[in-house]
This record gives sequence, C-alpha cells and structure tokens, in this order.
Amino acid sequence: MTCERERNGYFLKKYRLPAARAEPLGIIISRKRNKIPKPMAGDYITALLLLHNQGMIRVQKVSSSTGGHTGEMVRLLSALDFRHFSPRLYLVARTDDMSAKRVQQLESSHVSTADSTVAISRSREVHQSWISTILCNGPGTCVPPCVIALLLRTLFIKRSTIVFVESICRVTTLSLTGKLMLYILADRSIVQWPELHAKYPQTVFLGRLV
Amino acid sequence: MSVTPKESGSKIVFVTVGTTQFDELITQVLHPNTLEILEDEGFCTMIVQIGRGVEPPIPISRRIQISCYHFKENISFDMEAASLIISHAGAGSCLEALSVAKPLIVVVNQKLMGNHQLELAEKLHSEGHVFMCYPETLKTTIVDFRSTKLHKFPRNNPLAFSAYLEKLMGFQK
Repeated sequence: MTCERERNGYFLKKYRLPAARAEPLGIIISRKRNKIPKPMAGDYITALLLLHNQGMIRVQKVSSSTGGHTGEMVRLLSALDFRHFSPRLYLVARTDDMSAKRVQQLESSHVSTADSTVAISRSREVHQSWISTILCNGPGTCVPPCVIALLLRTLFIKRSTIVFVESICRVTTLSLTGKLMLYILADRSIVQWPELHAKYPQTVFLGRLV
Repeated sequence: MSVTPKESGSKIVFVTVGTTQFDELITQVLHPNTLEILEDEGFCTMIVQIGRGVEPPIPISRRIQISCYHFKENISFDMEAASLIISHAGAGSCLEALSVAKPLIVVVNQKLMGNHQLELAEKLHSEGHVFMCYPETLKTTIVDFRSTKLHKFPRNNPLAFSAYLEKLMGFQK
C-alpha cells in the first residue's frame, strides 16, 4: 500500500496488486480523528474525479468507524464476481484500522483465487466502462458521495447506479440514512427482513444477505 | 500454564465485544459468581476479547483458566473452538457466532445511545436463535441456557445479492 498524496490531512492511498496486475485496486480516503474536520464535499469530488479519470470504478464502499458495517459489507462483497466489478474503491475512516485490514484481507483472498488474465465477459463490452456502481450500507458518511454521484449524473458528467443495502440490524424500522437513500438518493434499496419490506414495499427483498 | 484446548479436552467459553467498549459485560463475566456457574457447567477455559475496553484484572487460581486480548485479525478460530459464546449485541459478532452454529448469549449494552442493536437482538431472541440479556441478568441467563434448546439459524444467501447486482448492471449470468 502506498501513500499517493496528502491533502489537508486526508490521505488517498492506492492499493496495488502484488504481482500480476498493476492497476490500482482500491483507494482509501481517510482522516485523522479530532485533528481536522470531517471530509468536505470537495474531498469527495476529488475522489470521484480521480475515479472518473481512471475509467471504471465499479464498487465503492463507504464505511464509518464501527466494525459492524464493515463486517456486513465484507460479507456482501465476498460473493461478488470481482472481475465484473473492478477496480474497487473503498472509503474507510482513518481511525478505522480494523476495517482497512478486513478490506485488505478480502482483496487479497480474491487475488489469490481470481485469474487476473481471464477474458472479460461479452456483456461488459456492451456497457461502457464509465458506468459505476456505488454500494453502501448504512453509516451516514455514505450520504455525501451519493449526493455528489447523483449531481454528476444529473449534469450528465458521470453515470452511476447507487445501491443501498440496509443493515441487518434494521428489522422493523429504516435508519435515517435508509430513508434518505430510499426516497431520494438510491436507485435500489435492499432490505434484509420481510417485516421491513412489508412496511416499505418500494424496497427490494432478497432474503438475508449477510 | 498454557494448555491448548485439545490437550485438555475442555469446554471453552468465548466472550467477545467486537470493536466496542463494553466494560460492564467484562466485569460481569469475570465476576466470581459467574465464574463459579461456568465452572459448575464444566467450562475449563474462558477466552475474553475486550475490544476497546480497559484490561481487567484476571482472576487466577481458579478451576477455569482465563485469557484475554483486545483484538485479533480473525476471531473465527476462537468461535469455532468455543462451546458457548457470550457476545455484545453487534450484528457482526452475532452473525459470526450464529454462522458457526454455537449457543449464543447476546448481552445488550444499555448505555448505547439510540440503541438500534436492540432491534436485531430482540428479533433473534423472539425467534429463538439466541438468548438475550443485560449485563446484570447474565448469571441467570447462563443458568437458564442449560435447559433451553435454541433453534438453528438459517443460512444467509450472499449469492442472491451478487446475482441481483450483476443483473442490475447488465452482466449476463
């Protein structure tokens, strides 16, 4: 992991694959707690533009400082075909070393099993590479990037699909982030309990995912 | 001093608080009365993961052997080895314990603000997958735990999500 640049105390880090593939796998934006204010919209824009220049970022993960959301996200991503969703970007708080480690674990476990030179599936050629998926699962920190993504889409700068997965913790009530996502930001909101789906029929219910 | 579980063939109880600080649980777990109940149940080893909490004084010269640590990159080995797991109500810890199909006592932290963990814990409790209690009621719950049988928690389906996302993004399956 190399530190690419430091800007106002934020670090943009790029992960690189150990051997075969040289393209960056993911970027971690992080901050020092208490020393500087929370990331501003500008930081997210920088990150998104950075992604835009790189072409095809497909999965973005946003996590707060708690292990639970990261755990859920890692479980969600573990079944995903990483060849289709590549490269991947993760947003993790700087103080959250555990989450960063788990993400690294996830990435390295896939590297060992995935064949990096495998032929790209036909359907991917049909879809332009600049369509990206933003995947988030709960903490309020995932709202700003989604707002910006929506803005960029509205201005026809960058197309993206926002998928929100409500935390397994929510059995009967949606979180505030969940409501924001469902009514305004996300293209699809997935819930993991039938009770919640019955209350909010616009959501998608696929069973328990994590 | 250090006896591996296999050598002693002992029953292990594993206590975890995830990435949180939950000193009330640690205090209760290490309370002489709790330890005595566990010893009577035949537990010989207790492993305590204390997260961000302060390191507690470890009672020595007891029948039950106690070890504790803050964090480990992978706690699944400890979960696998345990025959009883006592966990905080965090979703990650609960689901991990349930996925290895071990008896699980979920202890709710009442000090958490806007405790949304309670929602999941209550749901799992009402469907009979876990025992839910508070730090103060832990002792009685361990006693009750003997006589009650838990329902197996159904497996999750991560492939459904993968398939859904692939379809949404236009990949053919």
